[in-house]
Amino acid sequence: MKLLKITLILFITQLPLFVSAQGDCSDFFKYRKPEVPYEYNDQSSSAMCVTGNNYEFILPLNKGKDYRLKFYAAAVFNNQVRFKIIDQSSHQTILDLPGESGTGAQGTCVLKDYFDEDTNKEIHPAFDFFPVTSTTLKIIIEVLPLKQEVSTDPNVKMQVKQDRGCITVVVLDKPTSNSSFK
Amino acid sequence: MNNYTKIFAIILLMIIPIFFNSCKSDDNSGNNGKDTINGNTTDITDDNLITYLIPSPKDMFALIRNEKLAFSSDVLNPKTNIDKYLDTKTKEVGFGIYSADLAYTAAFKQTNEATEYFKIVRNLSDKIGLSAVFTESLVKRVNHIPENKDSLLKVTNDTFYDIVRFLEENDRKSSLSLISVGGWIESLYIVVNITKTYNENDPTIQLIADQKNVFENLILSLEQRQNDVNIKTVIEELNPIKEIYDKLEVVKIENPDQVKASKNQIIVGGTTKIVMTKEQFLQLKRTITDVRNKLALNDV
Repeated sequence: MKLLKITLILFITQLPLFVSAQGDCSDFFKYRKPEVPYEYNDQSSSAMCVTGNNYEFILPLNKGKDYRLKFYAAAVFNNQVRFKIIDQSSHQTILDLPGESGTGAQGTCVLKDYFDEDTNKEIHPAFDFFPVTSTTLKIIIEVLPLKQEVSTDPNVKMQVKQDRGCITVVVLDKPTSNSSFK
Repeated sequence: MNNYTKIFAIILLMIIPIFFNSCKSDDNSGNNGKDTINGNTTDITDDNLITYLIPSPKDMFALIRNEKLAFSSDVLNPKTNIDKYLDTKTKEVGFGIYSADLAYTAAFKQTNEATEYFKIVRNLSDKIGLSAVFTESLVKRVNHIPENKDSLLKVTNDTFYDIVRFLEENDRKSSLSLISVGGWIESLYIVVNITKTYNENDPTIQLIADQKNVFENLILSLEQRQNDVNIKTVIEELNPIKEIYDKLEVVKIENPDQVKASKNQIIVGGTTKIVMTKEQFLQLKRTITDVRNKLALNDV
């Protein structure tokens, strides 16, 4: 009976944790779709990410197209993600924003929807790029670490608490609207 | 403890390790070293922290569509080559090559050719475990293109999207890499061969030079999976192209034009430019042709 009790306790306490740590990026395919006048670009990608780590997406952009980037992150991260984009040709940081900002205004964050007064609806943030010459963007996604609980009991072995979830980069494009670059 | 209790306890003890293992098999997560994720151990390397993105063939054809380049069926991979693809590497690279041919014929609205190449891509998909993508409704869409408004380009784009989705969902990263190699080499082979003359101000010449950035990404993404023998072989086969692209100069643009972007657009690039001389273009054309023919098992 004792063995059964221990096993049951182990099973009940551990199972939900393992289930929440799993999952893939299939659900995120719903975000990977065209958005008129932009077409879907096959460089869109998803990655399974873990809190406390930095992830990079290296994205070549062609002259002759306008690009739009959108980002989505699993709810498990609670928007505690920071996004930085570096233009590799000039080495300049062209975007450095949190997942969620205090004001929630357009252009202040990457993940949280904002209210658009023109269309009178909630809109997911999008970032538009115009490559004057072909270049490569380095997208750095910092998934912020979780707050760790520190035990004062020296006999308690400390476990690093981490969450895992999907982050998706959606790439859209259209022929450039700048006539001199067609 | 009665027998039922014992059996129940044994079953529970057997189930718990399954959850441990199922988490461990996910190779996409992590940081440097080993981390504990809710008490679970996962192997983490630099490779799964960086994702190198590769454009699909339709990208290149979309950019050359307005450049007054004539369609040529001579540059397509012969349909009979499909019978030569017997192993995984040649089948998957070949699938990428034929997908690029399909994208090229669709971009230039060559409905008959495109339908033929769609059949070849579908046929090859059966041999590499991608037949699930080619649903009855997709096949119907292709068959009814002449009388429907459904554009050829849209069908081929949707097909490529479904292929990528299937490969990602089934964690077939090496297959995706080999297909990307086939798609990229065939796209470039087509563009360099339908570009008859060199003019340094020609946007198509610049597009070919700019593939230096894409090629670097392609090689770096392949190197992440070079413990796969097929990927390792392909990297070696692409080496002659690497030697040429490595030599292309990236020059600083001294007086960049003042460009006015549209509302909310962020301007990128414009400070440097990749330069390709006529000699380098001709050398690249020969090398791309040579490498593509080897990968396509094309007798020349």
